[in-house]
Amino acid sequence: MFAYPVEIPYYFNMKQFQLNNLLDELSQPLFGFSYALCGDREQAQKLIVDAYTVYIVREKRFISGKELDSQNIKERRDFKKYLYKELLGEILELALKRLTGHRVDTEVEEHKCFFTMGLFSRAVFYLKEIKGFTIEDIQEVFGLERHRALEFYYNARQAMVGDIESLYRGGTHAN
Amino acid sequence: MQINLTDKTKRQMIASFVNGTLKSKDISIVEQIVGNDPVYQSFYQRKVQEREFILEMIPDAKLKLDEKATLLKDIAGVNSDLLVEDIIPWKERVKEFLDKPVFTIKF
Repeated sequence: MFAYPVEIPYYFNMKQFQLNNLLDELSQPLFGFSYALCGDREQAQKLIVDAYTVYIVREKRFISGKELDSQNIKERRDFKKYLYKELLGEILELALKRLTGHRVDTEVEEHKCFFTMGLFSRAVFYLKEIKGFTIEDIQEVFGLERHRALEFYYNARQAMVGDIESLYRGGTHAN
Repeated sequence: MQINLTDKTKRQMIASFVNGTLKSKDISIVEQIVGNDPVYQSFYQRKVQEREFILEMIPDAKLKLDEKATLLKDIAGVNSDLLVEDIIPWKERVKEFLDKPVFTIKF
């Protein structure tokens, strides 16, 4: 459960409390995604906070008007899923503005190939392979047409498999 | 049950099965293909290994405890700054509503 930080003045606001709890649960998956885009822990956290701020500013009316019944588990789960997808889209959008052309220098040899791919390919591939998203989910999150989502996925896959085959041959990375 | 599929289709179905993109109605067909033929068994094993390799090559970072606390503190800060409700008394809201004309006629 989310522990309210002492420095922030506390007043009983159900919406904020519920939202803080939801974000507590979403923080790990959002961080994994954000890290896959920027390859830096500090930058990944900043990206989440900034994307969240942008989202709240834009959707303040909707969020403020949203009444979550604490007894209704299904409603809470649906809203959490909705928020997760919205924030993933927002994080990618912000990353595209900030990190296009940005080169990730990772020290982990296995991750080098992944970080040479474009942001969209990384995002699609990460969600598909690690988080088990379907192509339909990915279409919904990033507003892509099916053929575009599949194109990003298969291009990324091809790059990775090529890299594995080059490692099999004992050579250097494919990229 | 006889499966009349080309070699290419069988391999594509096995690959889709391993990737998790195969339709659920086709899963039993793939199980039958892999179960009955050693050639497809080794193809299936190769695909599984390939997938394991791929998963190792994708970073899946986790937040450390202190990082998580900082992140949640920042998010709570955003919430408390931006989600302050505009509290307008209901009488004022009704008055505002009644002050506005329902429709206007422009001549």
